[in-house]
Amino acid sequence: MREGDCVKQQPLLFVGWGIAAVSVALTDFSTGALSFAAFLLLFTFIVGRKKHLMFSLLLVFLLFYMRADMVEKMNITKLSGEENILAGSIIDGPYRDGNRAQFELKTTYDEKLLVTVFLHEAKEIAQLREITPHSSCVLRGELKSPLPSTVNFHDFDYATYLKMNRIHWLFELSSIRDLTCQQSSSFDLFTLVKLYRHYGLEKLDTLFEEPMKGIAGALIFGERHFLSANTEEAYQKLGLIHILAVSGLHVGLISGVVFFGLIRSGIMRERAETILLWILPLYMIVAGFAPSVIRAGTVVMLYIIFRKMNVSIPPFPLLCYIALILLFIHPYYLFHVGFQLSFLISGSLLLSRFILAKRTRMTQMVLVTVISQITAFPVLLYHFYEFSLLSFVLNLIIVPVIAFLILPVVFLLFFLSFLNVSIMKMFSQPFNILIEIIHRFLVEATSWHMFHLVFGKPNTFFLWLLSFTIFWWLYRLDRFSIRKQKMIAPTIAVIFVCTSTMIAPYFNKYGTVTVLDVGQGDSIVIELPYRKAVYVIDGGGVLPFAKEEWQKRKNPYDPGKSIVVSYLKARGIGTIDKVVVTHGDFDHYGGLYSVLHDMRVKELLYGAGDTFKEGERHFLQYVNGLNIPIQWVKEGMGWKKDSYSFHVLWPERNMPPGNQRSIVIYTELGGVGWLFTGDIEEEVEEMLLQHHPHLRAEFLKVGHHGSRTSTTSSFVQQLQPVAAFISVGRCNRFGHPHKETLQTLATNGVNVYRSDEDGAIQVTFSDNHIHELKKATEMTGQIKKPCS
Amino acid sequence: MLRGSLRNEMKHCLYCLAPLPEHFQWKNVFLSETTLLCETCRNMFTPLPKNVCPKCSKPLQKGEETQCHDCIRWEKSTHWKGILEHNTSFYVYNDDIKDFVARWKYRGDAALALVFKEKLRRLYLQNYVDYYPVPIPLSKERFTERGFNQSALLASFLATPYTIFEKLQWMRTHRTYRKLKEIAPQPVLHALRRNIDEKKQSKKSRYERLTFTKNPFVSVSSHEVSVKGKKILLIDDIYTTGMTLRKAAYRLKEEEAASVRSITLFR
Repeated sequence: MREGDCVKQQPLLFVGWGIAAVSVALTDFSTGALSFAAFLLLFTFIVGRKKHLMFSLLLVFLLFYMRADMVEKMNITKLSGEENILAGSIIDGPYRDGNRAQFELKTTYDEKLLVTVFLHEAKEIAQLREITPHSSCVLRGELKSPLPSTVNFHDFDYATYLKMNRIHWLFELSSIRDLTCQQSSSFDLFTLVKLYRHYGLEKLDTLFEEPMKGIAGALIFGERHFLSANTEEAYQKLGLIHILAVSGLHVGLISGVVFFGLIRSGIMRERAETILLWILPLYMIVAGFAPSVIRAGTVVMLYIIFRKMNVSIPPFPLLCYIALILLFIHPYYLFHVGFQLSFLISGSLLLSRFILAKRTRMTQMVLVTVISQITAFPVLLYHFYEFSLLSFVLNLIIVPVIAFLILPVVFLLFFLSFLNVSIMKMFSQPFNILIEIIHRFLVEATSWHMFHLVFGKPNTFFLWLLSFTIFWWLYRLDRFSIRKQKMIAPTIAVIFVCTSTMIAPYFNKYGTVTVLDVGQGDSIVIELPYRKAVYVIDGGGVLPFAKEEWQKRKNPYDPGKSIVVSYLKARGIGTIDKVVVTHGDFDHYGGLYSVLHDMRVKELLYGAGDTFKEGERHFLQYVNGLNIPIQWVKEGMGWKKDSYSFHVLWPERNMPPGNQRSIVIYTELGGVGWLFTGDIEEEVEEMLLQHHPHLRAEFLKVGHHGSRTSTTSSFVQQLQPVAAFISVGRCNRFGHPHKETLQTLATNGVNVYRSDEDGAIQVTFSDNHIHELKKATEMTGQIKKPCS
Repeated sequence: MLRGSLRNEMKHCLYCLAPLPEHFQWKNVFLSETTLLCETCRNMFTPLPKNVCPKCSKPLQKGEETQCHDCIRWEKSTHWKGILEHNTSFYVYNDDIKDFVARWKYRGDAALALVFKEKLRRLYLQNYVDYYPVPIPLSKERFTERGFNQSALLASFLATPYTIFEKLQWMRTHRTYRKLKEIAPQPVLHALRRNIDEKKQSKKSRYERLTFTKNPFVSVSSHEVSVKGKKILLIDDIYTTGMTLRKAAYRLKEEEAASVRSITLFR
C-alpha cells in the first residue's frame, strides 16, 4: 500500500537536485552548497523512498554536476595579457556614460572582452554613435586584468562576476581613434533584431527626455543605462527594482495586447497564436535577453505550444523544468539575482493560487505583494543586506501605475516617435512630469531611515532558518487560510528570526576597528563591543574627473558608496553615532556624501576653524541640508561612551584649513592605546609631543598615507606602537607610502599593515584584550591588480 | 490486506472516476497529500456537527444538553453499563453515504476504504496510540459472500508501520522520547469471532436489534490474542444504535479488557 502515500511527480525535487549539483560544482564544495545537498538527500530519503525516483534524481545530480564542472573548466582565457591589437565583433553596446563608452567584444578566437573607450571631445560622441552591434572591429589598446585595486571585507567580487559572464579581461582604448569598425555584411535575423534594438536605444537617447528616457529604456529594451544612478538605487532600495526588469507581468501584458489586437483586426485565433510565437523570441532579444525575460517569454511560448498540441501541463512544473533547462545551458545563472528572484517569485505566486482564489481584487493585490516580497526576502537580504518596510506599500501603489499606465504610454510614445516627433514630445510632457514626481518621491523615501532595516550580511544558518520559517508561514496560509490563529505561530517565528539576527551584534562582546581599503584616502570604522556605538572616521573619496557636462558620468566611482556604505550595510549598521571628518581634503570627506545620505547619522565632528576651503564649504552645506548636527571640535575636547573615552588631541585654534587642522583622536580599545592621526604632518606631531609628553599608542594610524612629511622618528619612538596602519591607494601617483616612513617604522620594530597590499585591515577586540587582526586579502582570497 | 497498485487510479477520483486535477500549492509542494476523491465526492461526506454527544458522537437533539438520550438509556441498564466507554465518528450517515457504503461493502469495492485511511490514522495517533485495534468480525458465510471484512481492513490501516512524522507525533502524544526504531503501532487483535449468522443489521428494526439478546460474538481464547488488561479500540464502519459494538465490547470485557472504546466512520 505504498502507493497511497507516494510522492507524485515532484518537479521541485528535480530543481533542488539540479541546484545542489551546480552549486557544489561551482562553489568548490563550499559548506553552504554541501549543507544544501545533504539536507536535500535527507529530505529525499524521508519523502521519496522510491527507487526510480531516487535513480532519476541521482541522474539529474550527476548530469548537472558534470555540466557545471565542464563549463567552469572551459571558462578560461586564451589571451596572454600582452596582446595590443585585437579583432572581433561587438556583441553588446556600445553604451556611453559620460566620457567613457563600453561594449562587449567577441574576439575572433571566441573570447568575450569588456572594452572601454575613453572619449576626449564632445564630437566623438557622434563617431561612437556610428558603431553598431555586430560590426567587426579592429582595436588597439591595452589588456587589463579585472582584478580589484581595493579589497575589503564582504566585497563585491567584480572579477568573479565578470568570469561568470565569461569575461576574463578588460580592454582599454585610450581614444576612439584606436577603434576601426566595419558593419557586418551578413544579416541573419538575430543580428537584424539586435541592430533594431541598438537603433531603438539610440532613438530613445536622442528623442526622449530625461526621466522618461530611463524608464522607457528599462521597460522597452530592458536596458537601465539611461537611468540615473540615484533613481535606480532608490528602486532597488525600496524593493521596486523588479518593475524595471522586463518580467512576467510585462511580457504577459505585451503578448495580451498583441494577441487581442490581432484578434480584433480580424485574424483567427490560431493564426494569432502562431504570430505571437514568432514575435515573442524576437521581443526577448529586443528586451535584452536577461534571465527574467527568458523565463517570462518561454513560459508564454510553451503555454501556447502546449495549447496547440492539446497537452495540458500545469504551469508550476513547466516553470520548474524551464529553470532546470536554463540552469543546464548556463549554470552561472544560479548566482544571478534576476534569475533567482524571477523564478522564486513567479514560482511562489503559482503555488499560491489557492490562497489567492475567491478573494476580492484588493485582498488579492495585497496578498500578491506580500507573498512576492516575503519569498524574495531571503534573496534580497543575501544580495543587498537590507530590506525596506516601505516596499509593501510602495509595491501596491507604484506597480499598477507603472504596469498599467507608464508601460503602455511608453510603448505608444515610442511608436509615435516614428510618425511624428513633435506630437510625441507634446504627449510625453505630462507623463514626464508624472515620472519626475514619482522618482523624486522615491529618492526622498530612501532617506526615511526608520523604514529601512539593515540586516547585515546574513550567514548560511540564518538564511536556512529564515527560508524554513517563511515556507512554514506560506504552508500555513495555504492550508488554514480561514483560521487566523493558525497564522500566529509562523508569523511570530518569521519576526523572531529577523529580529534575532538584527539584535545579534548587540550581544557580541567583540568590537572592531576596521581600516577600510578605499584606495588613496582614509576611512576607519570603529564598532564598540556590544555595539554600544559606531564611529566612522573619514569616508575616502575620489575627485570626479569630469569637467564638462558631456563628460559627467551617471555613476562615477565613489568609494564612499561602493566601499564604506556597503561595508557598513554588510555589518548590519544603519545608524552611525558619530562621523568624524578629520579635515577638509576630498580624499577624506568625499565619500561621506553617500554615507551621510544612506545612513542615519546622529552627529558629525568637524575641526573648528575660521576659514574653509571651497570644497569643504560645499560639504558642510550639504550636511546642514540633511539636518545633521555638527560639533566643532578642538584640542582638549572628547567624549565618553560607557567605559570608553575618546580624546581629541588636535586641532588647536587658528589652524589653516587642510592637513594642519586634522582631528587627532586618542582612545583605548581592548586595553591598548590607539591614535588616529588624520593627515597630520611633522609640525603637528611635534606639537602633540609637546602637549602630551607621555603619549603612548600601541596601534597607530600613520598620518598622511605614509608620506615622508609625517611620522617622524621621534614621534614613533615616543608612541612605541606595535602596529601601524597605512591607508593608501594601490599604485598611487604620490608614491605613498614613502620609503623613509617605512624605514622609520621598520627600525622601530613596528608591524606595518598597508591597505594597498593587505586590503582592509580589521582588529577585533573585547573589553580588555586585542582578539585578532585580519587582512581582507587573506579573508576573501582576492588578489590585487598588479601595478603597471 | 489491500493488494495491488493504484497507479492509474491515482489520477482519477476513486468513487466517480472523474479525472483529478493536479494542483501544485504550498501545502503539497514538498509533502504531497494524496487526494483520492474529487471535490464533489469529497463534499458528499458531511462532518458531524460541533455539538455531539461526548460519549457516542451522536448529534445532540433539542432538549439533550450534555448526553444524548440513547447513552443515558444505555447507562441505566445494569447489563450494558460502562461496557463501551466512548465512540468517535467522523461523518453523518446520509443517503449519499448509503450508496457509498453499499458499493464499498456489498459490491466489493474494497479500495474505497483508503479514503478514510489518513483520517483514521490521525485520530488514532492523537488519542489512541496505546489501544489495540480490534475489528468487528464477520461470520464465515458473510465473509465468503463479501470477500473481505471492512472493519478488519480499516483496522489494518492502523497497524501499518509509522512514518517518521507519525513517530514524532507518537512521542508527542506519549510525552516520552524513545528510539525511532522502537516505535511501532499496536498489532491488530482478531480477538472476536462471529458464530451465528444473523440477519444483516441493516435489515432489522430498532426493536429487533435491541431485543435480540443473544450475543453473536465469541471471544477467541488463545494466548496471542489475549485482551486481558489491554486497552481495546473497536473499529467498525457504522454506529447506528450501538448494539453490535456493545455486544462485542461485552465479550472483551468478559475477557478482562481494561477499557473498550470505538471508532466508527459514520454516525
